[in-house]
Amino acid sequence: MTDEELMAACREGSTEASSELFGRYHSLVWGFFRRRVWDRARAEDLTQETFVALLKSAPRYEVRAPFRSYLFGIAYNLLKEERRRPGQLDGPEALPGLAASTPDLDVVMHVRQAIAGLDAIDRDVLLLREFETLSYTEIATALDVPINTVRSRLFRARMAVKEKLE
Amino acid sequence: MTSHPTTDELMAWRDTEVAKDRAAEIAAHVATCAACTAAVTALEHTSAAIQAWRIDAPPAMTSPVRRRSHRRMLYWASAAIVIIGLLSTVRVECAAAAPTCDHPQFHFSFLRSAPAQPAPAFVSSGSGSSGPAAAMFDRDWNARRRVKMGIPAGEEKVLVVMFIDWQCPACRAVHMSYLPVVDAINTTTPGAVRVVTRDFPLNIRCNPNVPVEMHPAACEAAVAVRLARDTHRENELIAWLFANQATLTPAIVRQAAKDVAGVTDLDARYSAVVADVLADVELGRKLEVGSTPTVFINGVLARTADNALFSPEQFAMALAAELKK
Repeated sequence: MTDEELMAACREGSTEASSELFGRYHSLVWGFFRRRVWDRARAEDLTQETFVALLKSAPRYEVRAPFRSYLFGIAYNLLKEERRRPGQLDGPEALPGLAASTPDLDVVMHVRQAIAGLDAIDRDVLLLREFETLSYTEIATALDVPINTVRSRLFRARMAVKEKLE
Repeated sequence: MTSHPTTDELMAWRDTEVAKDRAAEIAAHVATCAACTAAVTALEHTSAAIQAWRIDAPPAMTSPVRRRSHRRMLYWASAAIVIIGLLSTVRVECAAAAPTCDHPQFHFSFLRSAPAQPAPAFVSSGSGSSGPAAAMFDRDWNARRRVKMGIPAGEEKVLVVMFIDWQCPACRAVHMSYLPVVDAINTTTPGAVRVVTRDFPLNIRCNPNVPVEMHPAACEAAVAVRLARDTHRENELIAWLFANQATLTPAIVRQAAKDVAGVTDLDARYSAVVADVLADVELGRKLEVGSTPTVFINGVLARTADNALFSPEQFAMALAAELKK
């Protein structure tokens, strides 16, 4: 079944469908928060909250809407709320996403430094493309910006990272 | 040959985001154009470099649907406990009034501004490290996992290793409350406890485990404190940094290093010294340091079961448990 069909089944109350969607996407949503939220436990909570919100909103879901942009739209809204929390950047309780098996720390350090230097929306667009592999249309829908903005910001972000790495 | 596509268009083509007809044209062009091939290759290299940022595996999570049914079970279990409790009110009330119900916690969390917790009853009552609570603490402490710190042992009986960010308020609190405990022990038993600090600045410029420049002057502060050891003004500089944490910038730290610690060559030596900071950071990563401060006592993580920092009293009890060995 496609994601959209599963979402339609969720709307009818199918727990199997929601479990299937969770199975398909929880790693990706986890990665979304893990690369953006300092607190590991909070990233886990936000991942769960995304799926809770997804299920709650299932009755309002329209099948013609691409599922992935719908899902990451929810995640992005939760992220925006999270960023508004006072002291958000002042509270590390866990390591941010970095695999213990990271092969080349120097490269990662430069990459993250380059990404950290980007404008917030440029960074969000870049990460949604590179890690969540969303299409330009899906990114535009998730972030509620025009598709041309996605393309121009993605280009700008990639050029900035490229320049930094050189 | 058709005219060159723009780099922006090449990027969209590589991302399969251009219309089919135009994609065919671009593909034909790139196949015969070295400059455009190079531009596409450069884009691919950039993406590959970004992909090097791998994250840890997701924790075991259950679908919210299953969690909800889990919660329903918890709800009924809780209801059953309440009913049983009502049937034995007297016993429950007695238990609730007992001082041993107090759960010691020491919140320095800078995410949440938790209210100050009272000292645990078993410590403030003067029971020292010999009461039943201390025995319970010792049992828990001695059962914990020990890790190798990679720091050569000295004459001390207890080695305390603190992973610190000098711009972190929790580090200040721990530093200022734990060290008097160590001093008190060393006064009666000289050299029994040695404290070693290791840098774990929360700033991407000198710590690849951090996504942003969380504490803007943390790297300069780490370097400055190391250089202040040479001028024997380390403690003065640390005190100054702690007192001015909220307003620190790299420039302010450089100036303070000069004014407070007599370090005049911070910029010249920064690159060399920051390499040592990175070595500490790497050690911290290997030891799975997840926040600052992180304190190890003879290789045992000094945190409560729910990952809160030890109170000074718990820290003292852990030291006492190690000194008994």
